[in-house]
Amino acid sequence: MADYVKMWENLGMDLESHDLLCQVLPTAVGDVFMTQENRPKAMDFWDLVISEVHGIRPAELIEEQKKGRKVFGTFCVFVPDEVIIAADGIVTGLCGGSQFWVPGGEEVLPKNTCPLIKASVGARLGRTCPFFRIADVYVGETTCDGKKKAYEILGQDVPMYIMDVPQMKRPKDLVKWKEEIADFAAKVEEITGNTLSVEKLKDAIRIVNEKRKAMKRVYDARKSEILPISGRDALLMTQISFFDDPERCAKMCNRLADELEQRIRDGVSVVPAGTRRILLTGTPLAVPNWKLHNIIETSGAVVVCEEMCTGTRYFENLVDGSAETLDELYMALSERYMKNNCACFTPNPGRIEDIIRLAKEYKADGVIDCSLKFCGLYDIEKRSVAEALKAEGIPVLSLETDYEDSDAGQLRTRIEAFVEMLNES
Amino acid sequence: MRTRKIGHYGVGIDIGSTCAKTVMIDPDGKAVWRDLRPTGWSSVETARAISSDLSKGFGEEVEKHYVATGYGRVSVPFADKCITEISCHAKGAVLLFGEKNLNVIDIGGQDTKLIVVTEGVVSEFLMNDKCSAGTGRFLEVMANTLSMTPAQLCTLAGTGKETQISSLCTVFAESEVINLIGRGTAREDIAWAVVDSIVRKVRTQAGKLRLGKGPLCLTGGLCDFPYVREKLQAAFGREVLTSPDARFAGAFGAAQYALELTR
Amino acid sequence: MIRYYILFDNYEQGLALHDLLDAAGVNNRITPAPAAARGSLCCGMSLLVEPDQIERARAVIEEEKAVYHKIVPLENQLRSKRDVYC
Repeated sequence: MADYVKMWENLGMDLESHDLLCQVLPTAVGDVFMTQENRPKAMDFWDLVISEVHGIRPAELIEEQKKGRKVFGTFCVFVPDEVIIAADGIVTGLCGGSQFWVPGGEEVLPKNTCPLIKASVGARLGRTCPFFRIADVYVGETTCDGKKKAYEILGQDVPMYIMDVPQMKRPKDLVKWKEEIADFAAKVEEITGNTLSVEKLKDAIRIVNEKRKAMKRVYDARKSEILPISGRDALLMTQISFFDDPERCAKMCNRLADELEQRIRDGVSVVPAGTRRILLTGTPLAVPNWKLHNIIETSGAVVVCEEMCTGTRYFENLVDGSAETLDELYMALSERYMKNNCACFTPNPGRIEDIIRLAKEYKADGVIDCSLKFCGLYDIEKRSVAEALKAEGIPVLSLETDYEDSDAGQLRTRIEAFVEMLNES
Repeated sequence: MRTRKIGHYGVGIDIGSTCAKTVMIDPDGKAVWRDLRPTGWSSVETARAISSDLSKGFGEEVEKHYVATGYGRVSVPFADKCITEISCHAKGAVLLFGEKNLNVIDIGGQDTKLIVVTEGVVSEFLMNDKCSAGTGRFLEVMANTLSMTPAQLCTLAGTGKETQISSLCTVFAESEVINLIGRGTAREDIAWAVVDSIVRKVRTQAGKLRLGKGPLCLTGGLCDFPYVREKLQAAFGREVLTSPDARFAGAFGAAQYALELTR
Repeated sequence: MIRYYILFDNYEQGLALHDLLDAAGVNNRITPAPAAARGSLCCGMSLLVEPDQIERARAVIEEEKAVYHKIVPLENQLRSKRDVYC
């Protein structure tokens, strides 16, 4: 383990501050994950990854860099992993999910910026996250105003490439996004020194599709009345999938799915029959943000699905890899990625359709729509989400939170009251 | 000693951020004991003191069941069950106002709650966000700035004339009040502005949910002030009911739940 | 309640024992080593063993000559409603 200290030193990390971060992780993992009974055995892979979160994977990435491969840090499910993988690059997610990094972000950003952005900037500038140190280039995107402007700040410290995400979904926007993908491909070729070919891109599309299918198998198991996995465990799997090698990720998710399907056949549920099932929708829950899941699942309910970037938006819809030219493949990528229903689009009826569809597929008793504080996009959309769900007769609770622990009591009251309401109705 | 009903008694303890309210009901649902005291610095100590006082009047001869509610509900070590103040206020209001369909406005010390009750159960609810604007805390802060008690402020407000302060944020509003004081604005006018700010905030919050058919019922600490009720009626354009026991609504609901535990 | 945390010098050692314990049917879970147990070692995995399994775990370690750093007993570290996140 002494090797990690040397590695962190070589990465230019602030070891003293980083040690403070290392001290809080075991408490949270213990409280959130180890208090659960009867977890799937296959979760041991993710338990290992989270226990060594700043060790194993960073060391792997550094080994690959020594062979000349480039690491691309991304912040959004719109950035097409396939293009990077096809050029033999490596993708790692970079979104900050810890309050630990927020004060660092607030040194350079207004306080009323969303915690995910503040944490991401704080993680980079505070030099306390190896992934933020390792990435050769960051890939940003124009989803929300906060991110757009934060990328300008990050860009002063690290090479930054920005993709211009359309804000509407007209046919010409799909073409525009295809062109953005083509431009990005050229940039990726330049950074990696590798030329993209139809064969390589088709292979990358296959790899990422396999990962999506494996994640979907795990989520499909959560549709069962016999619930074989908690929301906390499924969330951890999803969060780690942004950092892992895509082929290993698919293998591990399939291994987990095998066990979950067997549990369903054997009638093994992680919750007592009648436990209220919650669909969670809203802004992403970047690792190690487990607050909401933990509060819900210790208030007499269980999370069965996440309609969010760290959830269904990450794996739903496959890319059609049947085309035979790069241009057509870029279009196929554009078509898949533009099916993502982020609140940065206007209008955004697709998200509401997704929520209603998922609530039914996952047999949710209620929906919790939660946004990160100062995310105007998702906050404003709450009203339309609530109206649509009410019209469908699906109870909904709208919440707002950040990464601090201080609102846990208030969240518990609201969530417990919502569960009591579901139990009485 | 007067004769007492034999059987199970329900005790509801509502530990709010400012006051702890306790109600004990007999097997018929009739209140036989009420207690109101400051929550103080320790919810656990307050809960123990309540229990000890209750035992002085009602000893081992009555079998008591406890439900705790309010933000300090987890600090009642002897509670048989904890139930949120949303469910308890709803149940309490149904009992107090004798209506199965109603809308509860509870302006508490730390939270303001709006609860829609349909056929006796909660169908929708809303609580304020972290900010204390529009809560009892806001009123306390402003009363303190004006060197009055909240009760004095609410009474004086009835004699003031229209004056504006922000309804967005307690901290901003306090500096606005200090500005008004500096400009020599009459105290009753500032009091008017404070109550107006709370009422506007509550009205705006209510816009986020669909109020049900039944009456609007005011519970919580502000129900004792006729002027607040009057202002709420004007803001909502409909009658606002209240009751002398309305500040015990959460405790009544909890006591009823406690009684139901035995069935 | 006391639980036991088995610490290692590296995760390869930890995984090796995890597999041995699993094969022997001894319940054990991978979790980050608590700060209170870790001492000078930096962040990394440990194996969490419940008190009713620890003697069997020790027997497996003995028999298989498994390599580990130390075994640390700690008073309850796990509280689901503590609401301290990271």
